[in-house]
Amino acid sequence: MKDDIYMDGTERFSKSSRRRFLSALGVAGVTGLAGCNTSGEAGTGTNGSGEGTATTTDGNPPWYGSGPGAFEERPTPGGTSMDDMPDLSGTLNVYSGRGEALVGDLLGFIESKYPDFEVRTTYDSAASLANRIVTEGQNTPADVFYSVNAGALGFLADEGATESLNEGTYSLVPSEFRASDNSWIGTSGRARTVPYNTNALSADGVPSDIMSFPDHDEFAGKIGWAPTYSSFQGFVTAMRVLEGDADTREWLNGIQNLNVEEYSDEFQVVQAVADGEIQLGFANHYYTLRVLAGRPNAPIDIAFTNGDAGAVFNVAGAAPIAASSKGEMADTFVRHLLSSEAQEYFAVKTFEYPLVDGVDPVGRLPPVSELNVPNIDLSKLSNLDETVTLMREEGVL
Amino acid sequence: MAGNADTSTAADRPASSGWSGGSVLVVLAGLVAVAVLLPLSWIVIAGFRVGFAGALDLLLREQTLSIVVNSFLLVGAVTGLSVLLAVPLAFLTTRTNLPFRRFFTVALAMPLVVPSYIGAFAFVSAFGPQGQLQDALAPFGVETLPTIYGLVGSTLVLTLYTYPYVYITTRASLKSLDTTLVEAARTLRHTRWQAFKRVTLPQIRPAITAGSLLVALYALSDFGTPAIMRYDVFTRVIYVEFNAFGRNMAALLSLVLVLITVAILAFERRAGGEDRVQTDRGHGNTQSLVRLGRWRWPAAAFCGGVTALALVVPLGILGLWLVRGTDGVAGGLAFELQYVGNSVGIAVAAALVAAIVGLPIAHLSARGSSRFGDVFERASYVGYAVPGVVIGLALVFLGARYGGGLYRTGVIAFPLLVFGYVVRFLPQAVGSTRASLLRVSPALPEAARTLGRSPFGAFRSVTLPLIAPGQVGGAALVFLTTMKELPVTLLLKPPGFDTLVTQVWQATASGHYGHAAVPSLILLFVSALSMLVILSMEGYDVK
Amino acid sequence: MSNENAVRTETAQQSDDANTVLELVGIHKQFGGETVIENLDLSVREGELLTLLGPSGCGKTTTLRLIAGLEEPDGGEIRLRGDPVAGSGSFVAPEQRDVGIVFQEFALFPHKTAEENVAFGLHDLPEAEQKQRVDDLLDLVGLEAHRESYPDELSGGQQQRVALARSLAPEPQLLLLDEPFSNLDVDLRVEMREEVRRILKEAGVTAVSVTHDQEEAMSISDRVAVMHDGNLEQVGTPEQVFQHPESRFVASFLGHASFLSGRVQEDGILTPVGSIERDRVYGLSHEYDGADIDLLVRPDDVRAEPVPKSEANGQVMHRRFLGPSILYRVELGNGDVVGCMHNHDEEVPLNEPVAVELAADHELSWFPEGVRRVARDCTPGDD
Repeated sequence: MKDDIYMDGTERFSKSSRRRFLSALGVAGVTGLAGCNTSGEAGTGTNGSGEGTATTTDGNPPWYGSGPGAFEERPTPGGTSMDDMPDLSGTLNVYSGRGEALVGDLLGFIESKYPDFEVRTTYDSAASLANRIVTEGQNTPADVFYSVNAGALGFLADEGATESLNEGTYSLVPSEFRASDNSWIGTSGRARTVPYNTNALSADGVPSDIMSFPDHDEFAGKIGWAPTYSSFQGFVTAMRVLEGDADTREWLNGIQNLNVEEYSDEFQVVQAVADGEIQLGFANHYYTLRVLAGRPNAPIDIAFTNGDAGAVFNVAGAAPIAASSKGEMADTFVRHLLSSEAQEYFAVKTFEYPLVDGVDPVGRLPPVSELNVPNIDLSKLSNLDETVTLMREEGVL
Repeated sequence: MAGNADTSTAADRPASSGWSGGSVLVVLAGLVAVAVLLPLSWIVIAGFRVGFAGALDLLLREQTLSIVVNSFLLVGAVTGLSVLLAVPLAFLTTRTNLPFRRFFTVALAMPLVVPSYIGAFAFVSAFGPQGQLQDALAPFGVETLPTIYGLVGSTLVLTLYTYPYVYITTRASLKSLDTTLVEAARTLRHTRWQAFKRVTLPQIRPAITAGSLLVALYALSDFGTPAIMRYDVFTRVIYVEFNAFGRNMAALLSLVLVLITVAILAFERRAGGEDRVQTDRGHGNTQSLVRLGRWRWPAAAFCGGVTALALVVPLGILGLWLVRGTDGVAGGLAFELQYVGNSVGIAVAAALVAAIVGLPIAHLSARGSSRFGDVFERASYVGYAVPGVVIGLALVFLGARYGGGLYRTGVIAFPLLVFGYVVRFLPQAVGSTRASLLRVSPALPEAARTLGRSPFGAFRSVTLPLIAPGQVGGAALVFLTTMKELPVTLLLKPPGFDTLVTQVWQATASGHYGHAAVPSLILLFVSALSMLVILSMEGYDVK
Repeated sequence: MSNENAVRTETAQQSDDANTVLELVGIHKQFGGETVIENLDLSVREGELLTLLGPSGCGKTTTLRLIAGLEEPDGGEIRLRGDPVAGSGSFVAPEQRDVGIVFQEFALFPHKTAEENVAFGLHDLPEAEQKQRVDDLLDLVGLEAHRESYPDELSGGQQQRVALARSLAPEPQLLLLDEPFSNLDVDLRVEMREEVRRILKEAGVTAVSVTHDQEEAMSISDRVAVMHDGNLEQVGTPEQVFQHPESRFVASFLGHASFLSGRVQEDGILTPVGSIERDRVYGLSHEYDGADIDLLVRPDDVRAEPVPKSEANGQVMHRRFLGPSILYRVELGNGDVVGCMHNHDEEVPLNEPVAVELAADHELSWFPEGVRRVARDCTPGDD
């Protein structure tokens, strides 16, 4: 079994050959999950105490090795460990636009690493928190803003509410995933993908040009989307930026003419693909991995389109707040989000793309460098107002 | 305040003798009214930042007209339907021999404890595309159901979860109605229905309008339901602006909303008519009930249908979430008992404060001794009609601007949060207190005065005990709405202070519905208890 | 033969009368297991004003509500002009009975003007007729000037006039008045009694009123029906029931009543105030010779004169000043207490010996000792 993993695991997706990059995932998933108990227990001896405590005896997080969401045995990640970063102390107010379900464990881990460090987290939507920080002005309690998307970060930077990061921090992430003036930085990424049912389609059967989808009549009634979902609207926004409004409208209408099935969120789209209700859909990459984590044998895989809106790569990120009196501490905290531990967390717990060199995405996802990502200002993708209007005018919403 | 009366010297006497109807009350009520209108200041300041050109652009946008029309359609439909639903239900449960009358009295008020966003969510889950109902019907060849989205769904959900406002006020009014008026009409050759139309209805109209006002303003200010039901109304556009970081534009839109609110308040004033209403004189209220005859069971079926639709759908969906359980992914969402304590604690605080600060306004308005009374009472409604997210942001602004370090360090976080709730829900406390004050004869405190009590002493020893049920009822209503309030809570709560409703939000926002079930059910349970308080304060035996 | 039977005989006779508007036969009503009205028979004739008189809780208001159709009887039958409207399985709704009612609190619709209140029951008439009728009625009750006023802008007397006009407007075959004057000031009450009687007579309506005020009952009624504990005690003209009460209850309820104990003898009745001739006593037959009876005396039937102790037969115990007159309570030698009414200028000192003498110029009523009601072949009504 292990051999299967490594045999297939060495093969990565490459845009030139549209092979099924998650082809062995089902098998690997079974192994991963079935092995989760054994290797997890084995890991107890070597890697620490495992689940349930925030840190292991050797200081490694519990998600090292093969965490519950991992699809394979993973080596200790590269990058910079928290151990090699400056210490954190005192209290830090973090406004988090990412939910507690997603990042609560990570923040808890960082907190537990330092005896006299406390993170006080305020959870709300990113837009709400960004509005709040600007409204609070000089008296904002926020020291760090942690956002689910680049748009809210870009807005705060434009308002002058963020502080530039130190070089020691921003240099950890490639320049395309941070602000040009380093006033915010990406901490993890997500790719737009086309999940497809492997019983119905082969990898080559999925169009590689997002704009060509409406031409494929064979998908009529077999394609799904979640138009109310903000990630989907961000994707349509990217299409407008890249292709213009007219072509975007045409595309939306074309997909509607295929009798597209509508779902309330993209997790459901992916579930429907896995169930064979539909053959393919539009969704962020991690939903497919979430489905596979629960149902390792599900006949589902993902495809990427080429350098178009369908391949947009967005980031979640963070920024120190200018009004904070704890600038250094805030910077150090953001740096911790870029540590090997945190990046591995994003890889195996939230199935996102790590952005730091040396930490690989989970499940043999192709590395970011191999994705054909369109060139687009990420912070523009969160202004969904006009997109929503346009979608409504076309009867999509 | 007690000290004021006790320590008054001889020199104070002339002034303090005019105390009860006089200037102190006006000042107190005025302070409260100004306080709850404070958030408007931010809305005005931020709104004006948009500038003339921006404002003009907004007002002339084609979309603006359509959302105004949509908002009015929604408010009109929800209010109208609520009245059509609530008045017969109130009548059936107060004046007829409806089967299971006691059960229905309680059950029909209960939809108010369901937060409308949970209701909307449940209805979409149940009746939406790919919903539970369609899943269930699919084997029978039902491929599509009529769409629940849009005006229809928004109206349905908002009506089902707000009509109890009308139901409760109408019930109270029907119970205190002088039934000899109806009998007089009957002996004057009016059938039951004619008598209801020409006598009962005009008498209970102020109560209906008071309840309708709460419904209308709720429908105007609710964001969750139209958002889930995808219907373009003011709040949704405000939210879109807000999410696009156009908070000034959101404020400007809110300002328009405030203007609409003022228009509705003025309309209510007219529709409510002059208060030529027989107040309860303690007699003439016969216990005889209308015999429904062969309509008895159809009436019970009607009540049962409303109850089932409003309660069984959300409970069913929550139950489904509960049974399906948690997927184990969401570590930070585990239920903790302290959420219940936090929710109840903050809601109790808000209820107490609202009941206390609402008193001067209610008193001034009920006694009609000052024309300020009306103005202040109307003013208390404005905060109720502005979307919570705007109120929340306004208080964030005021807190940060004038609270300085106190705000920054979180010292005033709880007071600010409670204040936010009071701004949103004060009219509920004022309305209930005012109604009970109207039932207290002014002669009673006067009698106490002649027996040597100070104005405040007379108020405390005579008026207050008599209006206590109304106060408790109003406070319970504030408690209940605070329990389910989300936007202000999210914006103003201190970090780490999680409540049932923020937990529900956390879980549903991240798609972990299993984790939303337990806090939702506890929220409903605790709110249901407070609803029992409201009904028992109405004098109904709900044991 | 019992008095109850006498009343029944009376109604039985009248039920044949074509002039009978209302008949109650064997009416029975209970609320929550408690009997409020027991086997009540009553009939009301065309054009008369009959008053149900009794203390509160005697069932008189319930009787009124039964007649109006606001309550349903548990037994017996109610007939309006011979047609059953309640009982025997039928029940006619209030709006179809053609019975008007003036409520105790007037029950004026607070959201309607005087004029609109009066027009309320005329909704079936064409507008012109409505207006004419309203004008006539406002004229009848003398309220033309206040037609635009709302009830809360009217005085008590004006409110009552509106209530009366409103209930008369649809020309009911029977008008019911529930304690119509209890909500008015004393002065106004007396004035309105006259006024209401005038209006009712002018309108020619048959009416049943209900009151606990015996003065009111006697001053406005053609006939009075005294009720007690759900039973009808006596029906008759005001003079009849006052002068010849058939029960001690009726005697006491209709006015201050004292009872002189006496023994019937061949030539007269021996009482603490001396012997009274037989012909001064109403309908006393020789069957009662030797029996102990109580003679009913009203305060104006007796006088007390201060006398030396040797000539006295009693002592003044109490004095109540009533303005025009003074009521003295005198304890007689045998322990009987009688009330004596004197002019306000006739002072009789307290605790002093007096001689009480009978000054009545009419026949006295009497009751066998220990018996609540009298059995006597009385002549029905004076008509």
